[in-house]
Amino acid sequence: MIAPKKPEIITFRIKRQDARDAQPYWEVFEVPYKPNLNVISCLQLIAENPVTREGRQSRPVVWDCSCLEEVCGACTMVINGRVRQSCSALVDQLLEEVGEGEITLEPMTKFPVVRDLWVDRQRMFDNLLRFKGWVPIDGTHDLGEGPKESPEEQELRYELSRCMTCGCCLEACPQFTLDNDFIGANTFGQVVYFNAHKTGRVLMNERLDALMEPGGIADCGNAQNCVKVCPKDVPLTIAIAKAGRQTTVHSIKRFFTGKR
Amino acid sequence: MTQSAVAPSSSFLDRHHFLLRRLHSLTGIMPIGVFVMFHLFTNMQMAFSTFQHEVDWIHSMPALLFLEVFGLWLPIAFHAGLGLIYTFNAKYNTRHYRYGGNWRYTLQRVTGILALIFILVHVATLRWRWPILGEHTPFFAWGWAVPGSGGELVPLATATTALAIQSSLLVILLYVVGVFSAVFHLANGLWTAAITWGLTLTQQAQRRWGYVCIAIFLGLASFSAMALYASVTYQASEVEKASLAKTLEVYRQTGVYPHKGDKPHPPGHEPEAVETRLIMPPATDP
Amino acid sequence: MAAEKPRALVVGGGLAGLAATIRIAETGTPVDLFSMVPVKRSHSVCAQGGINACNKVARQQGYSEWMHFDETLYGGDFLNHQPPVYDMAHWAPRIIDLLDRMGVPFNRTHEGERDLRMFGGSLFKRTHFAGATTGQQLLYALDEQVRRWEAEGLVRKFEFWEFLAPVLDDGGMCKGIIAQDMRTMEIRAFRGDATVLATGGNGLVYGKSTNSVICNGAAAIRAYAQGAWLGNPEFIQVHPTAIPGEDKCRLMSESARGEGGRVWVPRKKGDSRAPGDIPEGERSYFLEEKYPAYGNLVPRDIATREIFWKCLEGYGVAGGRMVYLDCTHLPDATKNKLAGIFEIYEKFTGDDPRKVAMKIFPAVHYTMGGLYTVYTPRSDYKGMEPGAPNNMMTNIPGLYAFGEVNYQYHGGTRLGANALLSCIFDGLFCGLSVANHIRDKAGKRAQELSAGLYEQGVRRQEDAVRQLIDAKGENNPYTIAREMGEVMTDRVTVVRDEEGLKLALNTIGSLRQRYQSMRISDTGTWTNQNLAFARALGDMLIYAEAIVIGATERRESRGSHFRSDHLERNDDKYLKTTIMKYDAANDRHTLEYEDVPTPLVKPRPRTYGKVEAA
Repeated sequence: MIAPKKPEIITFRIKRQDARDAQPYWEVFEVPYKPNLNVISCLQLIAENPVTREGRQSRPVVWDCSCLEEVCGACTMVINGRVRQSCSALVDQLLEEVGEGEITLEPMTKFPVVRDLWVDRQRMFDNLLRFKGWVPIDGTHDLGEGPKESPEEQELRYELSRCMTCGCCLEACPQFTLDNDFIGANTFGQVVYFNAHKTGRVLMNERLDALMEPGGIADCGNAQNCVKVCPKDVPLTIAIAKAGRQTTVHSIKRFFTGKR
Repeated sequence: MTQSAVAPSSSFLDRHHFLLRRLHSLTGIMPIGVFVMFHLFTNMQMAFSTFQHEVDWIHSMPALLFLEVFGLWLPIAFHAGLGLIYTFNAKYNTRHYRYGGNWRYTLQRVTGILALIFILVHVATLRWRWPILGEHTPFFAWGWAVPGSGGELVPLATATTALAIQSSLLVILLYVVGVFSAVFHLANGLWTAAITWGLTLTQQAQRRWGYVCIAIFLGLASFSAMALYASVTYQASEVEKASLAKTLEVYRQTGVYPHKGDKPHPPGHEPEAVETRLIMPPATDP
Repeated sequence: MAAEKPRALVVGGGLAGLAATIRIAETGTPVDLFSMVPVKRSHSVCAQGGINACNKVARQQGYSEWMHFDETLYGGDFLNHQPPVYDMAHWAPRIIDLLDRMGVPFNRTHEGERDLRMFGGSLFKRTHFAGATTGQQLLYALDEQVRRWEAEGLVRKFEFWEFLAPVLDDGGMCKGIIAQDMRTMEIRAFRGDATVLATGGNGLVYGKSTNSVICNGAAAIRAYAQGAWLGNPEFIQVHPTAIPGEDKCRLMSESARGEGGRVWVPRKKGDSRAPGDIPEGERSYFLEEKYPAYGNLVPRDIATREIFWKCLEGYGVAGGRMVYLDCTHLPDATKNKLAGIFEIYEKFTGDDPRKVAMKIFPAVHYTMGGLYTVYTPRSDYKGMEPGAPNNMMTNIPGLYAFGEVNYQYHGGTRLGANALLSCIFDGLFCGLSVANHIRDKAGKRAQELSAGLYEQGVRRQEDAVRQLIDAKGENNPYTIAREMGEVMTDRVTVVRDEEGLKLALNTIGSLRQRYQSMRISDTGTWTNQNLAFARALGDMLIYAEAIVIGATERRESRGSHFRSDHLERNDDKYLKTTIMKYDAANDRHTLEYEDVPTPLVKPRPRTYGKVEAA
């Protein structure tokens, strides 16, 4: 695991942007090497002493993070050209990727930048609202247990439910761009998740109708990058195929029965 | 602040978005994909003596033009038109995400465009015999001086196809790239269609179906390779060569290739039926 | 907008805040929900292990809600108020049912029943779980229900907004809040007829903890500065098994021990062999040896201290501050059950716990103390009066504290898998109280109050921002924060004594001095995290002071509060709630004690069947 020789200094090339519409620019920072560093701890060190390699006083890098345990989904960024969570991006592994070179940090490219490495992922949350991402229970009163389910059913739902809305799948997806209307893998996963619940299924027709709109499931080009970059191993491609099957059946039914 | 960013749209394309997408997928398989399979199977027979028989059979079909227009040209136009729109609505990223699936996604779009260009050239030249490549236009020559034809033009499918392809290295290249693009596009399209329609759900199912698609790819590719090899290595007879030379001569003089039913003209004589829709290629040195 | 309905404001989008939002919205009262992060990213996602409740199977084995109630008190060293805990334990099965209906993918048995696991502090299988991410699953389920109310127009979300201060009217009643958009830096007042603070714990005061970076306790202190009281601030839970890291300590769930993981150290001091090379006979399974009944499943504070001491004695891994948590001997099926938490360990350390024993050390994990709250008990003290407007209200009328920021439920220390329960219970049970307060007790509507009250609040916060931005001192906020974390971790966590606490108080005092002459490197007016951090640091320093003062004055050992100079629990003097009040104008903390009533269960020694070494 541990490479024989470690540098004394780790160099970070960071893409910065001062405001939403500002021009991005690069800055290089140096951090003394220690074992077991991750990208977050380096950004913390830079925040304490934001001086560039050229010796110029700068400002702390702005980035989004919360749990640092790869369950909240906040700290996604593009590291060495690839999207991932910065909390679980271990410097020792990144150094192996870049050899003697610099570790680059960039904001995600598929979402509008707020500042530096912080992007606005509201589009993902809006989609959850649009697709009725909830189980329509009767209320919080004591109405007994929920529906029983088999361990197999639970397993698929659990795997889908681990999606933390981090946006990795969308960043890596060639079909999803900053300005098109493609919905993207995470929402497909959520639609299948809610359709798999016995009560959640009540809203299935509405979800599928929405899924058939422009930007919906039919636009998926099956590059399958989503499942490759997903940090939580959410079975996104299974979800996509299931969503395909559900919309196929739904559209045929609708063709013969008309709109409800 | 949490309202949906996607505004409801009412353009025709948007209202029938799902249907169009699924028709796009469907037309790729049926009729286009099925046609391509039969077409390549037929072509493969260039390596055997049955090719002419097959061609004759096709040409004997009733309402051939009707079948072509509604069974082929419209579906292809539909499939290609929508495909082009979809192709330019993506952001390719194989540089950073070097996964097989991602390469296939990108290749699917590249091969789609290549195959489209190829099909246009192929049909314009071999089917409609538009001289769009000047003397390098691979054309379908009719036998002029085949003994026993009584001066009538007779089809020489194998020979003229082969000679057409042999006419230039560029044409060979065009055929190799074009045919293999089409074959890849079809085989990979079958693989993704199974996901799109929801047939292959799990990774195992997708892998299994992937093997089937690889087999289809290999089968069609070997048909293509056999046909191309047969074309490239075809040894024309003197009679066939003479026919070809004569066709070229007429073309040089008139700017069009002779059609079936045309009477043979003595050299230097203008043919009677010149279709005005043909565009003259740049003048070539006789 | 004159006829606008009275609104409730909920600050914090974790389990407690979301549960409260759902319950309040259900009464038809509109809710504005504020969170520093999109609510799906709240710290509740980090809870791994599970959620406790009496269940069908355990009940047939002799378990009951009463026992859950009793375990929680016993675990909390009887510092918990009993009526709220009674209700929490009795509501627990119903809360599980509700979560089940909401679609939480709880693990299942073959027959489709919810599966259960063992957890510390109990001899019964009473913990429900969803893989290794129970907190995440529960949070998402509540988030989804909130989204449903959002779609219905009853909930407005203000994500990336930071709570700065409550707005109090002339009568001292909370009538809204001042908050700041963390992106545009706009400071705005929000009117509300009741405000729920569900802002979680204060782990960041300790620098590296298992908490998320948003858990700085600043919201509680901003209420404290406006006159809200703190309860039991000195009670901070240290989780015995965390993975030490450079940026934070990551939790290794108690379920590793629940499923049979064993804690050991080499019998030889400073043994630097690889764990697999140390033969069985040369290992000391010190928890099992000292506590045969509970073994590795002793409550957190006991496990923590035992681990801490072993390392202090020099038995730690290679003489350092780590012990082994060994899961390599477990059968494959059990290992698979723990795959989730193993993955975390491997992800952040590079070692595979299936093959190599994990290295762990205690880390600050949970804040039992928090804002002081009251409630209306039933006449027989078995629970709270449902819907009583003052349930879990702070001493500021109209200002509630739910979840971890509420000092209730856990007393001296919290049992594993009770946190998720207490947060959801607060929101669901006391959400109704909030709605009732708005209906019956809130007096003049916030919408009708003069704009001046709110403008003044905004101006005060804008001034504070300007002061921080204009400061031209020499001190770096990040350096101050690091030093605060170091002294708090060294002196005010597992083992405390008079001398260390005095030193900590002095250090915090001098850090507060240095805070006065600070300079921040980002003086911009767009998405300025530097400013937000520096501002929160001021609050964290005040929190640190309150913790140290509380710890100094409590000269006994109880629950997580362990005084090496006062080893015994002293019920005569300290079966009391620490109440701290703050005079912001003069920067003075005052400490008072309030008796803890014990109407249902009388305190008994908390031993967990410890076998005393001769």
